[in-house]
Amino acid sequence: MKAPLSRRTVLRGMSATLALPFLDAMTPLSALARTGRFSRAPLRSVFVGLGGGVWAGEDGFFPWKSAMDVERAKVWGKKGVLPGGALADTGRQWKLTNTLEPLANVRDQITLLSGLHNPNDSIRNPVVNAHGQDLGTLLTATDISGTQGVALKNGVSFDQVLARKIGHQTRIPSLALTVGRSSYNNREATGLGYMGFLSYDFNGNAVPTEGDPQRLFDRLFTDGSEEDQAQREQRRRRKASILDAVKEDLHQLNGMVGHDDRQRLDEYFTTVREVEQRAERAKQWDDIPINLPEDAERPEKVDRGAYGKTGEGRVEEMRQMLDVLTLALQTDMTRVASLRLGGYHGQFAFLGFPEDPHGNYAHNNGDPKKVAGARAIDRMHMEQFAYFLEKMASIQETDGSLLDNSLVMYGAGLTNGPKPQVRGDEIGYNAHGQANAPLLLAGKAGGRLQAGEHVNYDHGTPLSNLFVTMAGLNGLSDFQFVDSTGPLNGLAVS
Amino acid sequence: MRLRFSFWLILAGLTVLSGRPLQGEVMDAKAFLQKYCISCHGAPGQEVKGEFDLQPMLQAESITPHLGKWMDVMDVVDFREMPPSKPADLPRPSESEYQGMLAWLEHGMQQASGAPKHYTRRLNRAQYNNTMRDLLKVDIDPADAFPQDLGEEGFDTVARVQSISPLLWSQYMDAAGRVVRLAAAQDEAPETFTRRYFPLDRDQSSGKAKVKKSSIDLSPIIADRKKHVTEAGNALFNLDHETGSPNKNRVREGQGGNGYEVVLTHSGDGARRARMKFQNPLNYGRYRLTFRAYAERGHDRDGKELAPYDACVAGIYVNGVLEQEISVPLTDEPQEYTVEFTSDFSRTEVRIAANSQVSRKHLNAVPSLILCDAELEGPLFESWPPASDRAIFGDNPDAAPEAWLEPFISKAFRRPATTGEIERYVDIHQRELEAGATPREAKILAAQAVLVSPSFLYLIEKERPGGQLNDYELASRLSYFLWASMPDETLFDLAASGQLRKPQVFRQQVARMLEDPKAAALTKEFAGQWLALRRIGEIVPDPEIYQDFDDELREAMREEGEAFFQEIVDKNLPVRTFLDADFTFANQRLARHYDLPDVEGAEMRRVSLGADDLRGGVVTQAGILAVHSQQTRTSPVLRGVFVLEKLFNRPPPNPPANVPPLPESEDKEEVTATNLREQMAQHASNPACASCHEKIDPWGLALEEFNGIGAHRTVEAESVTAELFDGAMLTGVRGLKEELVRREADFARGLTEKLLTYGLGRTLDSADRREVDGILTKAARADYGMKALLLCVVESDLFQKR
Repeated sequence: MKAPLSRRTVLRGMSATLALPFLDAMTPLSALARTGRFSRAPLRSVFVGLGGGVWAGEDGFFPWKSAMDVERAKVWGKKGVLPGGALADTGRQWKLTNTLEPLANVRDQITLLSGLHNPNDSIRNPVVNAHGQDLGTLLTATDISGTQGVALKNGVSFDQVLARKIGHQTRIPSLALTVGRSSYNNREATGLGYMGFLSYDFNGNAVPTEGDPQRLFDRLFTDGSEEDQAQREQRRRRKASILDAVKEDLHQLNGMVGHDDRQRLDEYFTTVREVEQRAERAKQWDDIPINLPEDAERPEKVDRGAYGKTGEGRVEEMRQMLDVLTLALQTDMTRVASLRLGGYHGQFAFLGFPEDPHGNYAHNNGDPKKVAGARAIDRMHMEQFAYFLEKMASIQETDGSLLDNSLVMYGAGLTNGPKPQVRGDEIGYNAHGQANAPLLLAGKAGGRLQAGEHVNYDHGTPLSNLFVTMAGLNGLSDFQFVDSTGPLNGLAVS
Repeated sequence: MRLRFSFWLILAGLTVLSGRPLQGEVMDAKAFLQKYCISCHGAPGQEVKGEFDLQPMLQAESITPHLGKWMDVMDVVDFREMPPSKPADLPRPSESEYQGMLAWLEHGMQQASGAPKHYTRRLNRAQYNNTMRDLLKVDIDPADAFPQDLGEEGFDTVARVQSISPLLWSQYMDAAGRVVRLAAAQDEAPETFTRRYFPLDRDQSSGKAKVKKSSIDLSPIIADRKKHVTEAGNALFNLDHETGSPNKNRVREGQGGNGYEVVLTHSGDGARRARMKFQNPLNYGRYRLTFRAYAERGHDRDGKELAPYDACVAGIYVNGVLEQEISVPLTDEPQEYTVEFTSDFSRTEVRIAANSQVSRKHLNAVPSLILCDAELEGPLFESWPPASDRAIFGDNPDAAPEAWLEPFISKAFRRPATTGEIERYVDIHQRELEAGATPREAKILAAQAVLVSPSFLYLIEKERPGGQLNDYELASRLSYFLWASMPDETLFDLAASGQLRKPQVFRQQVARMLEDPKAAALTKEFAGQWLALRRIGEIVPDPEIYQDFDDELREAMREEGEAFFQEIVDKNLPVRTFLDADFTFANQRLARHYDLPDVEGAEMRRVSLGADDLRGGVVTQAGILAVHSQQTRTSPVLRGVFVLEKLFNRPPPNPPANVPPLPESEDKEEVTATNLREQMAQHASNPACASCHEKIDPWGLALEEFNGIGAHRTVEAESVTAELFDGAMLTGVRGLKEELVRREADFARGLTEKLLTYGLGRTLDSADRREVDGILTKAARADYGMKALLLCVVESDLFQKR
């Protein structure tokens, strides 16, 4: 057995080193034994969300075999009939719609999932309407109808549950990322703010998101990289000293404050304990190099904010964040990540659609001109997603590409498209529907998922069943999540 | 259906619905609903008005399954909005029935929820930055790297939505370490230097071209690539030369100390600039830059002089970050400008750039910046060790650790340190020394540990009977409200001697604090959120429709809002000034936007407005109008919501999830007021929309005289005339402002509630209402002067007690 490298170094631009990150030879036997991995690259689970919904009507997120039809629309939700009466183009020969076209090169990695929804989203309440759900319930499936108009108090999200189970195998349990800032309605957004947070911790609090690619890069790859053994020991000793003092402070405070205040201090204590545990686990990574690839670049500082007058700056920002995320997955920094990629906000003049995206392209009411705007926005987001997937597909690992070894969920909490209910003989449009969620999976889960198919589910199939499937692929059997009834049928999973 | 105040979120426990006795009063809630509500909201076979069906709630065993809807019931009961006024013959509850129902609901809500009533506040980012600045005397805003703060009801001080994660904790620890390290002095006092910079062009500085004689001898550094400074401390500006444009950075004979000057024209991105580099011997050094410059009219392609479109602005960048902008007037002779800055880089770069941000097509018409010379001196410090070091470690570097830890912990925790605490941190210090660290490192670690303690990061208030606060806790509440930072020495001293809560002393302190420069935080943090000034940075007006919108205007919009708020506080003006004023603040760029004459220069200054001027008051400010517009047009709805939410603190409920859009105009022109109004007629004709929109739209329609970026436009009188829900007519901006002033008392209430939400760090509920009434009665006696209102707020029980 080769002796593992003795320095924790970031290897950059050194042609002599192996540019391929996850290789068995680099990992000490003990770590391999612990994880039970001997020949397989690990499975990465990524959750990419789009705020404000996605157009699922004609030539939109889901391919149709036949067009909308009023009579068929009345029996939607079964046998492949989508809201509005269109027939889902299921199977492997599905046509690329305008929105899906950017995925042409990786279509064999894509599994389209139509018909799913979070049943709890449909609970009628005038307080938290769909705007308040959006991405907030996509990964939590929780009933938030009792919350005040801000979905900031939620249930735990699936990615955090997964991170708790498998996060100890990597340096960082999980990442919660956003491009720009995560929006939410704190009333400062005057009633139309979407819920832009995907991840929620076990207390139901939104997990703060990191939105600066440069800082993220530094945190993951640069900070502490120049330490030697002695310096590392010193840093740890100091951190332990501080943590001990903090715990004593907390103990003293608990006696002083009232019952209500203790909740916050308890959260603080839990956080400190988590920090301690992570510090302990971090030790096992001392001698394992990060192996940043040769061409890895620290992102340039981008002027955040309005993305430029015509909004085109957002593309660069999305790509920067996707690049850093790819590096994090490639180097096995983490195996769980959530990312709010974009949404219907800001300026899209660079696509030829300068109007208020929410009021016009999301709430398009089926108007063809406005639908064109929605499609353009969705396609633009899909182009960035394709960029991400193609990049992952080009990275070779022990067996297969990084994309082969991943499961990337992509979609939105809100469906923008034909209304399920037919009034009279007209099919209406719903900007923020909660049926037939626009969702797809990318990746083959290390070969255990045979991708390339469009699978349709009867209405009533809980979205959380997808999480049961994903949990299973992560080695968690007998998994249950909120309202799940079992794994998703009809997926070729081995 | 309005959601007024927030209530507790977590549901636990049950409450029986009907016939529940309530502190001696017997209230039959079910009977109340049956008698007054069911006929429209859930009578079998009848249409359910407003889609609000009470039947499921009546049939449920407890409040819990329908908590959200019960909150709506509580709202309309609280405000006596239901039964509605029309038709007039509906049976209405008596006042005591209303009150009984309300009390029953409040009690039921509280029972149904087991969530805490009071959350401990954590320092948010701005508060953290300011506290570090005031405690350690190092100003580097470390919290800007932290994840964004979450907020509620418009403010990021609200404790309920604050959380902490391992990531954030690590960031706190790293930030504390970094700032303490910068604050702690290195061993020896550094040598200070003075350097002077002069302009020469590339040929001149390389020796190719001749340089005319002057009293400044630059010959030692000309043609010598390695030497950059002469013995006398003279150096050259490093001038970026644009390729392909020989005239862009032009050095010519002029009024610099060496007989030359450099012409910097505006490129819109600060690229035309003069750079100065130097070595900073300190971890955190302070410097002073003085430069001489003047402005000269720009030219068009044919060389003709152009009338100035806007003021010449010089931007001072330190290590790539814009530190300050200075307006440089058109004069024949240079004037002197001084900027002080800090640097925590060892190789520091300072740039003076031509920094106007007007739109591209007008850049030529902005007067060029003529830079003559500059002087840089530093590092500056009054004594050694410097103030930042002494702020932590005291005056005696050889003192025992407890000697400096005791005062430092007391300041950091904002109350006297306990013996246990001092021992704890002395222990860290000692153990670090024993592990082989230097004394400096041991001190740094102990200080860093203090700054990660919950006693520092949280505003801890002890539990006492009657909710009493001690003087220290009160001092913290006060300072975080008015300064968004920790108390200062005076406040600590008064707390120590138990004087602070004496009414006379308390009042004096409030007055003093409002006059302290730190009170700018109230403007930045409170007004920035209350008036949505922070969002001005995010607006994206369609560049084709609003071709004259530029970042100078964007900046001026924000500054107007801030300066206006600050003035009302500083001069204790009555709060109705927010609604209608005979002045505003403007600089040259904003004055152009507003058509105000005779305003030159980029600084904001108070401008009087004539009787026939429409401007004056927040609803006429371009920034607020632009934020409450869409990318391609105005938005009467958003503006109406601004009035309801921000001025009266009575926001309408969220729109239903599925709202169809209004058809857009075909041309690349802004939708006219008349067209927009016609399209919005649907709001009135469709009853499902009308119930909310009749309360929102009229306010916004009256503002249609201002376009999507707040410029005035000609409109027909009918398109800006609107009838309010209660019958009052608004005709245009003037009518709107008159009506607002008539509702001054409601505005004062709304503002007070906002101030309390921000200052207390929690949302209000109906139990707070009586206190708010009390505040308003007192403030009314002082004609609602802003300072008087602030004083009434901090003197109220809500502020003085838990």
